[in-house]
Amino acid sequence: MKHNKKDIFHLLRYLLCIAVLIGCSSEMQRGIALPKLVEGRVKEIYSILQKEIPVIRLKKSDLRNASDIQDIFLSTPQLSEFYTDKRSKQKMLNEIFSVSAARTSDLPTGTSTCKDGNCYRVEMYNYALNGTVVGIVDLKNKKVTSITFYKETQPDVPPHLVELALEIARNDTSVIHAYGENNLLSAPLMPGTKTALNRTKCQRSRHLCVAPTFIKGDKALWAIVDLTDLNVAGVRWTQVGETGMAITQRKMQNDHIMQCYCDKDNRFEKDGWSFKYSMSRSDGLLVTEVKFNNRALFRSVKLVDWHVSYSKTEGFGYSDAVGCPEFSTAAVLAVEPPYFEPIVEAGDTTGFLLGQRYYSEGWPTPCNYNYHQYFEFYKDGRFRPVAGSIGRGCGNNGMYRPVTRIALADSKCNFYEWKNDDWKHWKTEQWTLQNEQTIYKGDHEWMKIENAEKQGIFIIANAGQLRDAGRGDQAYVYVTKWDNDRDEGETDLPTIGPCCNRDYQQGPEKFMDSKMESIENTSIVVWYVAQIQNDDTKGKEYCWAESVLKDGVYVPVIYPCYSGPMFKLF
Amino acid sequence: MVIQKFYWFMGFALIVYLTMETNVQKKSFPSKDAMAELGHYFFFDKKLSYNFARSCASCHDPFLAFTDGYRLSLNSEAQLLKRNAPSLLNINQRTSFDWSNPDVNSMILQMERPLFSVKPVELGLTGNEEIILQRFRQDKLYQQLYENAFHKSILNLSVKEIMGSIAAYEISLQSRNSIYDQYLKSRDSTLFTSQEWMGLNLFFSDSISCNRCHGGLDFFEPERGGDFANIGLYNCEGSYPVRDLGLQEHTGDVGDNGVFRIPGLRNVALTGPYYHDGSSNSLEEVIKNYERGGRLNSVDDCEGDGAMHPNSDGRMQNFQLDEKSRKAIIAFLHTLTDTSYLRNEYFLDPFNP
Repeated sequence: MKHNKKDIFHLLRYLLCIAVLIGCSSEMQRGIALPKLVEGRVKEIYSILQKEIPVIRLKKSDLRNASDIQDIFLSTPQLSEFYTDKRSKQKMLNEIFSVSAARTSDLPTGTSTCKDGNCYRVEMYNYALNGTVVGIVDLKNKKVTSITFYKETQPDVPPHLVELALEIARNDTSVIHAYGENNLLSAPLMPGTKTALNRTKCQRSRHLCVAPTFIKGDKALWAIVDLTDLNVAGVRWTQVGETGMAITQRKMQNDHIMQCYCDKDNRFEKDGWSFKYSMSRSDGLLVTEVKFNNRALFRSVKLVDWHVSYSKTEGFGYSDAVGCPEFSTAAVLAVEPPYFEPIVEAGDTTGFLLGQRYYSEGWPTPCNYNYHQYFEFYKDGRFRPVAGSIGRGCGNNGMYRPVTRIALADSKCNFYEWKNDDWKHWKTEQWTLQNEQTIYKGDHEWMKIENAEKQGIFIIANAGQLRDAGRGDQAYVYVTKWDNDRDEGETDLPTIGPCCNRDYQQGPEKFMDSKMESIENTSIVVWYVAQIQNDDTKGKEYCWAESVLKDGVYVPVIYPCYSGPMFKLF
Repeated sequence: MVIQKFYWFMGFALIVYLTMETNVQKKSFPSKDAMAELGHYFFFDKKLSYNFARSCASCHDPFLAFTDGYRLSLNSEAQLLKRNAPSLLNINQRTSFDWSNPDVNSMILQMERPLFSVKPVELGLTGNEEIILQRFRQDKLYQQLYENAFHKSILNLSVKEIMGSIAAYEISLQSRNSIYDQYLKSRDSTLFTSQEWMGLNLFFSDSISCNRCHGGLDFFEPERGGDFANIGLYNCEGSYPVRDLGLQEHTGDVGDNGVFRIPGLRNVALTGPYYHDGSSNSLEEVIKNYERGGRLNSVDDCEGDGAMHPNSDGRMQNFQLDEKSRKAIIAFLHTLTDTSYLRNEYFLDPFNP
């Protein structure tokens, strides 16, 4: 009898071992066997790094001449510094993310060539340096007219890498385990939007990372994919509130209309104002040569990035950009042309605004976005660049940070901040933060920009007193020197900042030299990064949207949040 | 020669005695510091949650003064919890450890909710105790840490010991290097800006007297009255919203409706959103609520004037502040911020320093 018990015990142990082995082997298979795209990618990288020019070329493009353009671009000797690490002499991996016809906003100021529409913009990402090389190629003359390197920036992710990220996410055991069902075939949202995650290589966007996001009930599962290391850096959940219905009323309405604004500047004059406007590649609606009563005020004003963070502790979210749909892989697109409308205050028309809306297809359901950008032009000379979110985003604890770049027209500006009951002169490039303690002069006059004739502009802080019912901006403000011989954002910028930094490192600081250039009596650029906390608390909604059933159909209920300082002449 | 041998013998005997003594001590009592060190690791380790999703630090992040920046914290299944995560700094000074239950008067009792709560689950230990203990028992790092703390094999590890270790760690989290602390030591008012100094004087003034409730070194010891108060955040027909009635949920007494623990103000600039339900995003909003003696709500399911709540605390009194004075008080509250502890690894995530 004893003998039998022992045998049964051994048999059970044997069966258990087999079961464990089978289990382990299936785990191993899952862990080791590479998905097809990943396997191909690994081989491609290995092969490219053996070559003299370690650049993965763009294979699919709508442009007939894409290959020729890449040849010309890659023949530039200037690029050699991005091919080999100076110290170790090892190859650095590069990849061309896009090749497209150069637009007005892509060309450096004063460019005389490329007026015949024969120039192309090439964006190349350097994985080792985590930076973007932007080149303008003159195809007709077979030469490269400009090369600009933006450190710690990332261009829009091309479709083939979005596919790759999806494959990595769907085959990762941590993603499958977290989702709870082996059913990740449904289309994720925001698969190509860049992200970050603290305490991983994706932190502060040091690697190229994207976040395909899968909705499950009132939660969103973020599969944070590291496209530099080809793995999943982490899996996180956010609460997205009740899932409503998509109200799909926005489609790409008219390609021709979009091309009108993406292709060329449009001049506009009204109420003493004159300016040009166009839709940029990824810096939103852009106004240039802004004048009031023939007084030149701004070289250009544009919306560079949207940074959206969903966790103060774990630091994940999206770094997004908005612009022309025809060039962008971003999920939030301009699908209508820019529009004008009057500004009416207390029954009087006090000015007009130029606006642009950007939508995700599934808005207002979770992980879909609706951004609103507009410029206010007042008859009395006030001007306000506004960036707003109409929700709903991917979580109910989101911090939205739109990055606006404002290049002043005057060549001899001096910048002052109201501090300790006096105007403090900023002599070198620097930044400051608006917070609850910030004291303003008079009617929220926070800063002023003055020229040699003591004429200038006040920057009126948005402390929630402006007409859009905003709750204040808590903004970071940076001032950098505008250089004629160096492009620091005058042309279209890649994504300049990570999604989720809580400090001043929102991107503009990259244009401040370590020695901090003088900004006395010179041309300056003001960068404005508002910080807007969303809220889904009943009665306090902000940066939020829901769909509710009304009269038998779903309609959106919106709770917008708007940000932006007011510029007032003196 | 004999004397020499005698001394050798005595020396040897002394060493043996001391070693034995130490061993005896080691066997009898866990080492307090080593327990805290072990607790340091438990505190930051997601293995403590049944699905590896959360750790204590998920809701108590050192970079946010051991809070999480959320209005309401998330559990290990990303569901919203009921309350806002409070700071853990200087928690050894407290005598109550829950937003609304005064019976939770020790860290160990406090931990029962995040560890064992089932509805809603938080870290989810209930029913998973053995699985979770095994994770740590098999971990070489913990084997060493545990031995240092308890002087026995980690095979003996119990949930109770995990709780004790975490409590030892949490109790050791001290932060007392703010501008205000420096002022208390030196009484040098030049440490403050004129705005902060004005704020300090307003804070302790007879007319505003914030210290009536926020008194003591850590600003949670009332100068008069109890440690709990109804500050008029809601008034839905005489009650707080049913989702959270505060102390009434424990006593059953409607007189305790909307009564919550008075929070400390240390690092308050870092610990927003504010209140038990994180329903206020800014200090400015909080102060404005106090100015009117309670909050006016226009929320669909709870419309009403919190100032008129029948249990509104007697220590609340209306006062008027102009913008300058309000900003001055906020500036003073910012002087209670101390982030110097972030330079000490002991306060940081040991797995990702």
